[in-house]
Amino acid sequence: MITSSLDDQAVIEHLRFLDDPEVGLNIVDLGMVRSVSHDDQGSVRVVITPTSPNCPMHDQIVEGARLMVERVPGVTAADIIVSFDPPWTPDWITPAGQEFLKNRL
Amino acid sequence: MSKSSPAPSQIWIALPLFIFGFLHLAGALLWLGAEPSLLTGHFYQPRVIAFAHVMGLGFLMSLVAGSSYQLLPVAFENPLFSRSLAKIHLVLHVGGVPAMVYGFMHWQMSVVAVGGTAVLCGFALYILNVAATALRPLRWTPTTAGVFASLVSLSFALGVAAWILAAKLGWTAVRDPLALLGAHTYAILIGFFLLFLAAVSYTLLPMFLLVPLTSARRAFGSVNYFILAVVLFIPGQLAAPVLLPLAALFASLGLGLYSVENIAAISRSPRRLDGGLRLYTANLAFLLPVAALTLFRALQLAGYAPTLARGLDTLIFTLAVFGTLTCAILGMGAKIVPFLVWQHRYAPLLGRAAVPKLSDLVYTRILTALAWSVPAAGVLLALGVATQSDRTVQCGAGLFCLSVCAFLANLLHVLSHLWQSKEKPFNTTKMPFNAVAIKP
Repeated sequence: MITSSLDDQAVIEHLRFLDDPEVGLNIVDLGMVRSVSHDDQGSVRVVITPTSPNCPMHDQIVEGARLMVERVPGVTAADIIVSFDPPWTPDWITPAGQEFLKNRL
Repeated sequence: MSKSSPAPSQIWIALPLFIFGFLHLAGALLWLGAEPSLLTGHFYQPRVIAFAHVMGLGFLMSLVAGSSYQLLPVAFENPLFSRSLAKIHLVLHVGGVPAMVYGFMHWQMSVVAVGGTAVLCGFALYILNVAATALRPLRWTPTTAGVFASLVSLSFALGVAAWILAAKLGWTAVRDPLALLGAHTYAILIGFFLLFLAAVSYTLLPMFLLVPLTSARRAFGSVNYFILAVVLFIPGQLAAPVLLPLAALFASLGLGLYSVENIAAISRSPRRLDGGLRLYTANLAFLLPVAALTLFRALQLAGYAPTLARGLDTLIFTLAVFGTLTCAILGMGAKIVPFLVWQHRYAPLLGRAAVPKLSDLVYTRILTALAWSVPAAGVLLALGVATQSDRTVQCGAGLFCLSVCAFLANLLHVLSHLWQSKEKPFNTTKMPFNAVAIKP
């Protein structure tokens, strides 16, 4: 499944440039990115879980994530899936994200 | 697995209602500073009734309606039933409220009737729109239960208001207009505003604080206690004062559970509270005195407690309106207005350019200062009412005015993004590659 020209970690690092506008933290450290996978044609699939089923911004975040993934060299197509099963939990926030949230006003 | 967002921006409906509301608050505070007897004098006077409607209809109702059109589709996870009905409501409200206030000030009931009819029709459309939004399809949560109950209370309060007005115009007879006025006031204050605030907080606060609702049972419990309180307050005011202490007890229990749920959510949040959320949560500090005084007043009316001083109704009104509701609604306004502007201006650019965050749209220091100055002004006003001191009321109104000016400066800063977009192109050369694993 993994090809030499495309790395899932590169996708993740690009997604770190996308912030949740309300929280101010990128969606990776916020724990919204649940999985990243790709096939050997360069088609990437990202599963995202918004922090709340009521999140009014998830359409924009999904579209933003698609645009960010398409910037990664070697990506030919990006499929962003929104999943609420299981629901998001604060336990998914990375230690760096937790530190950011405790300090940011 | 996937679904689309239920909440497109309603900026051109919500924002005019917000601005209309903020201007009424500023106007009310200037008026109070010039005429403190509005709070220290007897409440059944034309100017006091006009003032109560500037605060209740012009400020609170405008912000609640504006918030409803943006937030309730989010809370219900359904799109707004009709933007057209919301626009008609906006026009009727903006046209009707000033006419009502003018009519009350000059005690011209025919003018009140014209403005009141417009406001009444507007709120009929609002109730229809909100109920229809909740029903497509209905998800039974503490928020939907509370919003439905608050809409029933609002309908009752509007009906009573129409009845009082008809009596003033000589179209019908009313045996005890003060009792009807009391039923109208408590149905609006407890049955609509406080219940609506509690209900909406059960969706919005967890969303902002990044925590789930800590106890749905507790949230439903508070909604049920509010409903019981309103159901008993109304006959208690109109005919059977003996019911009032029980009604006040239920209202206190509803407020208590609402406070506990909010405090539990705040204590579990991984986020440091920003200025808007701090201002919102300051409303909790006023709930204990509101509950205790409402209980004492109910015991007085039922004949179980002595009359210590006049003006207890005004004190409860001051704590509830200038304390709890103003803190909560300004706090929510501080969160909603930047969101509306951001969604309108920057949402289409997310992923295409480096866009400002919501916190970049506001003056964070001003909002943090407001989280202290607004509650402090509410306390000063309450002290002024309790001691019947015009000077203290003027100090409270002055501090409130300064706070609202700061709030409006922040609002202008937020709105400046509508005509001065501040996104930047991505600096793609800085995109790092730093291998950090995602948690499974």
